[in-house]
Amino acid sequence: MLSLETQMYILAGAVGLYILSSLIYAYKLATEKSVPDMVILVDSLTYDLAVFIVALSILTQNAYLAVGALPLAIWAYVFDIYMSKYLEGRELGD
Amino acid sequence: MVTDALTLIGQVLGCLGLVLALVGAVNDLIAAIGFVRFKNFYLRLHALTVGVIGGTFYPLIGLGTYALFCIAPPLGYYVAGVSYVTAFFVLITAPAGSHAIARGAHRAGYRPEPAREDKLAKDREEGVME
Amino acid sequence: MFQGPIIFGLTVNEILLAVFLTLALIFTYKTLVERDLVKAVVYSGGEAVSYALAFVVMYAPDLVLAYVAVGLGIYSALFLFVITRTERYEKEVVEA
Repeated sequence: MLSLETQMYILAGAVGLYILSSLIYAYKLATEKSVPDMVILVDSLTYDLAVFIVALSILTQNAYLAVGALPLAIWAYVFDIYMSKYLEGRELGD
Repeated sequence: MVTDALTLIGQVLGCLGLVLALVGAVNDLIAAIGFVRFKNFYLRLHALTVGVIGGTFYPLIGLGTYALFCIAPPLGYYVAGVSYVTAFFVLITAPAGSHAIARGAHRAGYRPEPAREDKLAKDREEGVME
Repeated sequence: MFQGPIIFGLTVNEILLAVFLTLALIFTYKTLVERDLVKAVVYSGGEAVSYALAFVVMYAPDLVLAYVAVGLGIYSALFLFVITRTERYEKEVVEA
């Protein structure tokens, strides 16, 4: 099978791709105009961060780093729900 | 003999999980490009789904399997449990959240811009739906 | 332990820290100059996520827990509740 070094290089490549897509999301968030688009961009950024935490925890053999993955997913959902409640409550075009 | 076979099966499953994580990272990059290329909010929801299910759920399952079979027990079990539970909650909550934000956006007056027909808005004007 | 390459005398962690803190600076500036208060709330959520990325790179998961809970959850909920009681768009300040 694959050697340990090859496994670690594959994982580091995946982390690099995640950082690249996070930068693209952040660029799009900084230049976006409408509110729902910005909300789902923050969502995508948060889910990226959850996978990034787990991958970094395996890569550095550090168990305590993996704690933050679950609350991130839950708080992203809560942010969605609050924003959709605000958008429904008022008839505002933008 | 049996122990060797089980170890080999564990190694194969761990490497498959690693490949799944790499495929998920490529999916996430595709979703990011889709966010740049699509033109309005309702099309970008497709890119969000690719980014959540293909770019978060599958890599978490893959990383959990890799940690379960290829890392020494205390750390491996811990990371595997965290990633499986996170994947389960993402699978439940993310579609609900994206549905809620789409409903709120349509009610707040964001319409799909190049659209041939918007039957939801027409029903709402005629009073068929509240 | 995986050791990354060293680029221009900096390790990978330091480069990532610089990138994510620059992102946080950009989002903070956008929050300050934005006239639409709901957009300002979403920008501050992006700023919280950027700081969380920086804390992950600095190996501080407890700070990630606290910062995401406050910056993305409680702060945005509280400010959206306040915005429903007042006006959404900030007016231009008239010089006296």
